[in-house]
Amino acid sequence: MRLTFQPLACIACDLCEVACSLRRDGVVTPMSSSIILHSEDKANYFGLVLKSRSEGVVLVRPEGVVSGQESSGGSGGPGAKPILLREPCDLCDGDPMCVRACPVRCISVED
Amino acid sequence: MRFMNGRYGVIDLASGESSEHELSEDAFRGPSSYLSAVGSAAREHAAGGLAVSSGLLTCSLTPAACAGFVLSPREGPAEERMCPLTGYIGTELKLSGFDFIVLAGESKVPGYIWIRDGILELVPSPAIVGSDSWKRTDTIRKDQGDKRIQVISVGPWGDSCLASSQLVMNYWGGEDAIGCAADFGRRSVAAFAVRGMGEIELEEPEEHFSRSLELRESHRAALGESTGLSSFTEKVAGEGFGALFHRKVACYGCPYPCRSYYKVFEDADVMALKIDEPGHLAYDIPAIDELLSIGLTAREVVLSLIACAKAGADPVSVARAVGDGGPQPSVEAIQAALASEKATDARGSAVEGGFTDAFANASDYVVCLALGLCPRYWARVGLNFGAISRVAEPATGSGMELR
Repeated sequence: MRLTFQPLACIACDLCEVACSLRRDGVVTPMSSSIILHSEDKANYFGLVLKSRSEGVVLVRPEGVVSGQESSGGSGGPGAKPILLREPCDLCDGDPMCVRACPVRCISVED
Repeated sequence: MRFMNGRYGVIDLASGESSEHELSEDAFRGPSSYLSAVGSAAREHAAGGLAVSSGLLTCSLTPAACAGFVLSPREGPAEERMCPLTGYIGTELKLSGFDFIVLAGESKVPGYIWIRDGILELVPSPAIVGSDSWKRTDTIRKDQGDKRIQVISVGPWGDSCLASSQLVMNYWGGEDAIGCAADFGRRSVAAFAVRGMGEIELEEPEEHFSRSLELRESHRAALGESTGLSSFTEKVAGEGFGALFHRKVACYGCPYPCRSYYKVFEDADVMALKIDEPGHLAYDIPAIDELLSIGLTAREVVLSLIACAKAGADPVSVARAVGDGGPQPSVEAIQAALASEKATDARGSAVEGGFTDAFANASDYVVCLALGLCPRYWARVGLNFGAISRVAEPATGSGMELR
């Protein structure tokens, strides 16, 4: 089972990140999620960064999805906790909250 | 009450000293009591204190819980003193450790407010004044080393305390219909920057999550899928704007975005990051209406929105000034009006499609902002207090008096 993405469906609402923090710590925080929103807002360039157990860091960029990255390319800036220091996605024991939270079906599950 | 920090910050702009203050539980009984608490705190710490606030449900999973507001100290009813904050500014403020911030007095040296991790300070930055609003945001993000810092940027028009100035949210304008940027300019505050890296506790996280999804799905059934700004105004539904359309963008937690990014300096189909400033994120419906009405094309409208955002000027007022005689309206005429600071009247409330007049009833607008909910989204789906209360209760742990 793995998460799959349609990058251009993303609307940068950040609900996946918040849902992940709710699952991990029961709070809303940008510090603990395994998935984070990366945005260059002035250029309207945005996507997601996922720390996955099976595929390493997955970059969900507008021009395509790349997995197995060693660096995130989107840590959320040095002021935030870098993706490599976070816990990897555990797929919420089979019912990922980011998938449920996403309002535009950018994120889905594949067996 | 859960889901609030229970404290606010005050910065004395004259001395640069900041302080923290506890909020009583009474402040969180509902939107009216919360707004009253924000107003009282602003008055208590200084005559003419200016407040920047998140809302009671900002950052929750309640649909479109992105909003915050600036409360101007000027006279008048609440709806004429509130500037909505959309995007991510309200959420970052709540996660910074403060529910709201009071700006008291006036700074001797121009600078910007910088908030993170429960720290509130005034950063002297004389060089930033005079630069355009985009450069202010870029400078602050670069100096503080974080691209996710949210900036309420004051442009040159706000520095000059013009009635038709407009606050710019990072790079874009459309929320400030009351010339609130002048309130910052009078205090020599060039920008307000915030980064939230804290946490907000909920009473029952899973229940809040489930109920928010139920409510959102009921909205989705009624709304369908958003096409961006064209879902809110037919004025951008034609070929002119269609050729410039890049992607729609949501504010925090919004399932039905009203924002469309239009590219004017590269092909709209380019998805890779090639240039830093390819276009503009548009959501200011009255501004687009007004710029089109003076005869500008879609591309000229977007270029004019960029110019007005950089100046921190209200495009509605500028378009009216250009349209009222003088040379043929054009981007050059808009730029000339911006350079000469021509346009003296604020847009007022008599324009349709803005945030202020989202509801027929002004009190709904005020309640919506105090709750931290986007007026444009909630006007579209209907402000159902019973439904909001059902979603909010597992987050806050207590019922609220929503009326």
